[in-house]
Amino acid sequence: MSAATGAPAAKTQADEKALRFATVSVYYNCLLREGSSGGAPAMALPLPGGPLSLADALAEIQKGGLGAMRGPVWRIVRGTPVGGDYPGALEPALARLAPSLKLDHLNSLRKSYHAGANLLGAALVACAEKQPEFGELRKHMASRKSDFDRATEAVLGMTASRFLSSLDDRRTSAQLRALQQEVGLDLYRYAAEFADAVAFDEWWRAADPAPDGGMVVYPAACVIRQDSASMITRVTVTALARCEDFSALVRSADPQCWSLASDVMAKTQYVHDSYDLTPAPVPAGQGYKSRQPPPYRWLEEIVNVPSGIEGPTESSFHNVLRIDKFNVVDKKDRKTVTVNFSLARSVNSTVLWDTRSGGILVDQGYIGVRRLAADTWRITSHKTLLFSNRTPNMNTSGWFDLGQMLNVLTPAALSWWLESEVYSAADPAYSSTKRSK
Amino acid sequence: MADQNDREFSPATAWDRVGQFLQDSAAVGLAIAQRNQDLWTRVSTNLRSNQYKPESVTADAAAAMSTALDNLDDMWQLLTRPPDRERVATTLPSIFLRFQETDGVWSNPDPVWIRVPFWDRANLPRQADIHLDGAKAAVKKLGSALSAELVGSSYRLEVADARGLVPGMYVGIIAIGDRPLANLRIVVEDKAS
Repeated sequence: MSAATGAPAAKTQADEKALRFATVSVYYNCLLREGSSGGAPAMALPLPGGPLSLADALAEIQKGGLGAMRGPVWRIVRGTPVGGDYPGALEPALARLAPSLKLDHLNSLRKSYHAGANLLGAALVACAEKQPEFGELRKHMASRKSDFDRATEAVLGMTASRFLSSLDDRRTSAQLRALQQEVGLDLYRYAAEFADAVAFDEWWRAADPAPDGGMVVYPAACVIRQDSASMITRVTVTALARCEDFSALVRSADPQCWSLASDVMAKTQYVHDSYDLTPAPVPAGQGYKSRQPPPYRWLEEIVNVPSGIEGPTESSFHNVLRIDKFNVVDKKDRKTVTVNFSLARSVNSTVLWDTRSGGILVDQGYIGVRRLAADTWRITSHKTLLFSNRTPNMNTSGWFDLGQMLNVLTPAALSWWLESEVYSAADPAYSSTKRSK
Repeated sequence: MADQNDREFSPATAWDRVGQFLQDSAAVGLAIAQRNQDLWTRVSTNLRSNQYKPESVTADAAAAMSTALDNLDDMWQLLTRPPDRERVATTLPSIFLRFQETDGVWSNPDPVWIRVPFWDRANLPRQADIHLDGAKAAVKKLGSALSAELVGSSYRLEVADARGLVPGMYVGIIAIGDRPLANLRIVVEDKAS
């Protein structure tokens, strides 16, 4: 895991596989609060093999130190409602690793910040809907001087009340409505998720301070939806980042650089087309300059995902993506990055003993980087995924259908995949001083 | 044998049959010999490498088993289904592809293998022809997303870059020259329906 705090070096390939499997196991154990499912709850079905128990998974991840624990602990915290009971395995794991991290303290922070987030959420909704109450709510937020208001300064670079004061632009309400669509959450829930992220970050930083300089990625919202009729899974991850170097953000979003600091992407490179896989490199960190056809590129990718059964064996997928859009706007008053991609060709795949042509039916999504304040950015990554049925001539129902096993695991594996990709934006490999590509 | 000489019992016809069988046997024998040679080339290359690891033993054993089964299959075909001497109507396998739209993007159905009948395996072109029926513009879009490439002694029908498809039902055929290989049935689903 390449979290903002980094991870210990000198791990063997087997160690890294075991760590990835344990991390996905945590995700599988802790999805229920955020996952939603159309029709039957496919994502809650037990797997034929099954990942590690939460206690075993945390014990395995602990070997990677605090940096490796940050993402999984955040996943557990996020899966527990404010005031609810955390899974029993969490407290002993924290006591072994960082005794100063007390769950009681985290709970009090979350409660306090949620109260402030309620007000922020109401103000944002009023602003989006152009309601007259927005002015009153903004004034009330400023006069209250809550703990949440102060805490947001560390993440946003300004207090929440100052942030509300900045929402005077005529385009703001339209932007806020578009934000809901992009991140997959309504503004009220987004503010609550933001409060949780701020509380968690403050609590965690006491034991594991952020390194000086460079980019810091704050965890935020993750929305997971699976349609059990089609088994199509949609995951949207949104995080906030503090970063002075816009070009580092551009490189982290550049499709050909995805594999530089990724736990999942083993290889990414531009190629000539879906069948001609000879490399067609372009300078890193540059968006499309021309609108002449074809205004898109083909990206060959090799992806390794923990299978979720029978120990740390990994599934491998070889695909060609069509990068429909890679737009970089780098103006003084507007800096954005937008990447849209979709599956062009599923070349081949391996799951356990089964190697075959194809393997993925649907694979598409987007990455958006938007500026919130001076050095504060919102990174949103979305992916829609459907694996093919690997036993098309031998169908059984539910989890007995081994051909659909991957789709049952997808909500956990895909949310881990996207979150680890977003966190990896902070990796020094993307900074302008340490470029490796 | 489906030709019209089945009921002829003249000595010449009988000897013709013997000659045809010997000719077919030679073709099968050649294919078996080539397959055996490929296997032993592979095994000897592995044995000559510095390390002959357990996984190499397993892979070679699997290849030997696969070769033996392929040889048996060829001999079985020779005995039970000798090639017809004239053009004869036969059954064709069917391929079914279903395209679905998700958020404006068409799905990529998995590749489908088309096994070439034993007696048609000589001199196969790299690509098989795909013929589709339907409105010209719609067929052009769909056809550009399909390819049937030779892999070993089979063709792999593959989908890539499926864009701008027109919903509907398409029929077609995959052939190499005048030798048909498979029927094609394609459904591009209309989301509205």
